[in-house]
Amino acid sequence: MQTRGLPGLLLVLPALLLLVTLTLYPVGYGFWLSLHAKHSLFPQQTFVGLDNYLYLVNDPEFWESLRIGLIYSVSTIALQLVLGVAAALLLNESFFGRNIVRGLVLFPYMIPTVVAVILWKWMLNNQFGLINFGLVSLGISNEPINWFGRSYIMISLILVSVWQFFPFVLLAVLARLQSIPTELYDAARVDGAGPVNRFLFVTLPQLASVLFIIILLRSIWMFTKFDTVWLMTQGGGAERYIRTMPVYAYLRTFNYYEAGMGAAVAIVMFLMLVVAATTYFFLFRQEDQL
Amino acid sequence: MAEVKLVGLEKKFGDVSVIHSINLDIADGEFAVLVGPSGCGKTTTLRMVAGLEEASGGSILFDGKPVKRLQPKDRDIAMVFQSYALYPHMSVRDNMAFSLRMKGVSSSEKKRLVGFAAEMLGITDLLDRKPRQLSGGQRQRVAMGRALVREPKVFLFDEPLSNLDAALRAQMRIEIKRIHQRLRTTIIYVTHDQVEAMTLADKIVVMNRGHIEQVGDPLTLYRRPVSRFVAGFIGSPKMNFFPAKLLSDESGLHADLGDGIRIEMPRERDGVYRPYAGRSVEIGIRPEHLLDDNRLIDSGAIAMDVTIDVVEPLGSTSLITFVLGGTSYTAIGDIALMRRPGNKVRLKAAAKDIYLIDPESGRVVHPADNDSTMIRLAV
Amino acid sequence: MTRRTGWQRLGLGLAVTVLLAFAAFPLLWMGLTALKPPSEIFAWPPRLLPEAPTLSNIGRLFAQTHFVTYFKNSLIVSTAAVVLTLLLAVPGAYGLTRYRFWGRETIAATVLFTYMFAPIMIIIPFYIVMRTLGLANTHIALVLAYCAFSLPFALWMLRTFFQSIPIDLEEAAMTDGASRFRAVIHVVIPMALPGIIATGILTFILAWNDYIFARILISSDNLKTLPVGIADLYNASVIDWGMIMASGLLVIIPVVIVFSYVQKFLVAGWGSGGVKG
Repeated sequence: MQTRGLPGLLLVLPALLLLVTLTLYPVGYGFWLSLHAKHSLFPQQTFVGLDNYLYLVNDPEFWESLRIGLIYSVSTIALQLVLGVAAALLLNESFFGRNIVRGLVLFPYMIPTVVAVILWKWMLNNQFGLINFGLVSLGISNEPINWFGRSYIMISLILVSVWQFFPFVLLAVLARLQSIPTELYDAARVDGAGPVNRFLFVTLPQLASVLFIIILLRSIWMFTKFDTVWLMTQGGGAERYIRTMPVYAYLRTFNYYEAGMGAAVAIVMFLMLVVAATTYFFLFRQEDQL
Repeated sequence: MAEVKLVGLEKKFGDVSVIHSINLDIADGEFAVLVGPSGCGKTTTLRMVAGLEEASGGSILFDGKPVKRLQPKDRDIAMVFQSYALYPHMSVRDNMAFSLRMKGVSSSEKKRLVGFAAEMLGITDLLDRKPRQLSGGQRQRVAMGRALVREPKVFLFDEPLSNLDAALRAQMRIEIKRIHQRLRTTIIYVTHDQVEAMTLADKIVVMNRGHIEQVGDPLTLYRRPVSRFVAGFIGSPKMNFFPAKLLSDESGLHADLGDGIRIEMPRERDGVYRPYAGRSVEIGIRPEHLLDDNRLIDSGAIAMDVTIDVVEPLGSTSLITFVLGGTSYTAIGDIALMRRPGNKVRLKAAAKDIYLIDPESGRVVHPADNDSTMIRLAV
Repeated sequence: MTRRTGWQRLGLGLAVTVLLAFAAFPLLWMGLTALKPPSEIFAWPPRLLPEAPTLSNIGRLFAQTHFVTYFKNSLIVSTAAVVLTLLLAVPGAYGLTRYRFWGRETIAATVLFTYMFAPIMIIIPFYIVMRTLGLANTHIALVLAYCAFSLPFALWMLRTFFQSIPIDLEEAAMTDGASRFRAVIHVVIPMALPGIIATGILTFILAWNDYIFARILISSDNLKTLPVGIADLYNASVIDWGMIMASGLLVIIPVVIVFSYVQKFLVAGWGSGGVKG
């Protein structure tokens, strides 16, 4: 008895209204903004057409932010995937205390980014950090490493990002793993497939659809991530070396006070994402989507 | 082809014993069916033979060689699963060729084997399709094809037909029997459906609660069931069990079923039955032997007068339900007689079709057997 | 399921330990550091457990900073965000499930599509809009932002929950004499409660943990939420590590408590898409 509708529409209206005004409108406004020169603190703006975009094309800082952003995204996504899938396979086995372990392993994802960052800043501290202590005592390094200096900042950043977000991959993959019928594995065993072959021919194909979505979502989120990058790089002296695109957009708006320019950077990011997502979709679309 | 022997096979989960010391011999090329209600242990036993479950005790021998320590892939077996377990992302051809690929068989050999199996099962034009494009019956054949391709020593079937509708099931039964006749490979087949067991098996193994109740060919199990369980499990509709008291008087032994019904026990079985005189027993008569039919009768027939409760027409015959002492029983009737609920009828059964059951031990009391194909098993 | 060999068991145990250490140990270390006096924090080589555990770090946190204010602000904002989101999402999801109307599926898809716009894209125009409305530097702006960000997910999740409740129950209630509204209140909502609670919890966590919106929209110290407050604590010149670790510890406590309940739902929700019938 799905009745026809006006009441339904009315029920959704408040939520829709909020979304449209607070999400879609700002996005539209963002497009409009990017075509203007506007000081972030003052209400006036001047229409400049595509000037902001043209500026960006010639701006070395912009291209650097793109380069850094891509390095960061690709590395973190790849590592999150590998670690997440490996952890999911591990936690799919039954062993004593499995449920507790499953809960604990999800923690990095549930805490605020600030906490994740300061916690790792402490672990990676060049004077008192545990990590340096371990490295020096095991003889891997002669002296404590400055994890937040130019040479190592990207590595620390990637480390923290992977630590924080691999549980997301783990969750989704584990859920899917648990719904793979065990008879498929039985049939494969009888057919002579060892553990590696079972993974390649039974597990992986079944995971394809989940992985498709995970890669898409994580790509969007890591490419546009602001807080982890910002918080990790502030104050270590390496800020100017690690500016991903979101950070650059932020700086343009709140340091240079050029809201139009900041908006333009954000729009460029958006367009890149749309193109990438569409291509991805057409190339790798799975027939049996969730 | 191989001869399969199970000696003292056991399975425990923790402290709980689910399979209690099973002994079974299956000859080379024999079609053995493990049958029994859910939870009786038939699937667990099959999986132990396959190597998918580890046996807690006892041994499994193929042609006299122990295989308990071997992985499934090294036992030279093939298995057809209840849900078919086809690899969803592979074509039918790749599904069937998968095990060969694992073994490293050459392309030409793969082609030959797959072609041969596909032809035998009539699925040659399906080879390039994916499982989700196939109907249930087609998937079942592919699952069998995957097993055939391996040319194994033993075929294992785990309730392969239970997901099919009745018509398909009947059709596939015949296919499976044909394949067995053609290939003569040893088959161990698990089902809960006794009709499948009766129609397919050379040897039926009736299991209950982790034990083997009886082993024998279909007809023996039908005619000379060893226990009440087997008597009630084999044969459809189910055998009637009438509680009665076995009494002795000048004319011999008779059973009093209550409601004034009295059955004279056949004279020749006097010796076997006498020890039970004065005790409560059960009289077993199959519905197909309890007839409302004017034609039948030879001397030594027993009769009971009952009132019909429900009539279910089947076409050429009808199932008649009647009530005695609060319990419903079934008999077969001639449809031409057009019985109605409330009619009083006289049901007759031949003396040879009556069984005496000792309710305490659950055993069926048989006259001395001169039939050597029946196997008695000590539990 | 064959039994594992001794080697396999060892390997499994080792791998699980490494995984656990990687994921959970840093948090444990943070907690332990928070409870150590400065002398032990800066000891070299570092010790694992505190010899003289102390609450002084926490004490300093309360006395010398506005931590309590930040905590209060976070609590207010997060709770308000949950209330607002549920008030909008529950009827909204119900409308999307039980009624057929033109554009319904388009609306459902578009709603999820808004997630393609990452926060960074929205925050800049959002900030300008709020500024124009005079709502910059208010809690209201934050609550609105968090609500806007949780709504799509809340609508989607609640919709799946409502879809799994058979309509027969409402119909039975209505034939029993209840109006549709009462049928929903007495029958549907109680059954969807796990989903509603899970959605509320996830919204709470999203609001509680957020940094970027709070950073950009709030400039007054007395309105700051915890993530921003803690980040600023860290950036103040000399870092009081013990105190910082203590702040981290306290911040995650509500999340930890609340999280134990969410866990079950997260796995179930993700898995239901792929389970065979």
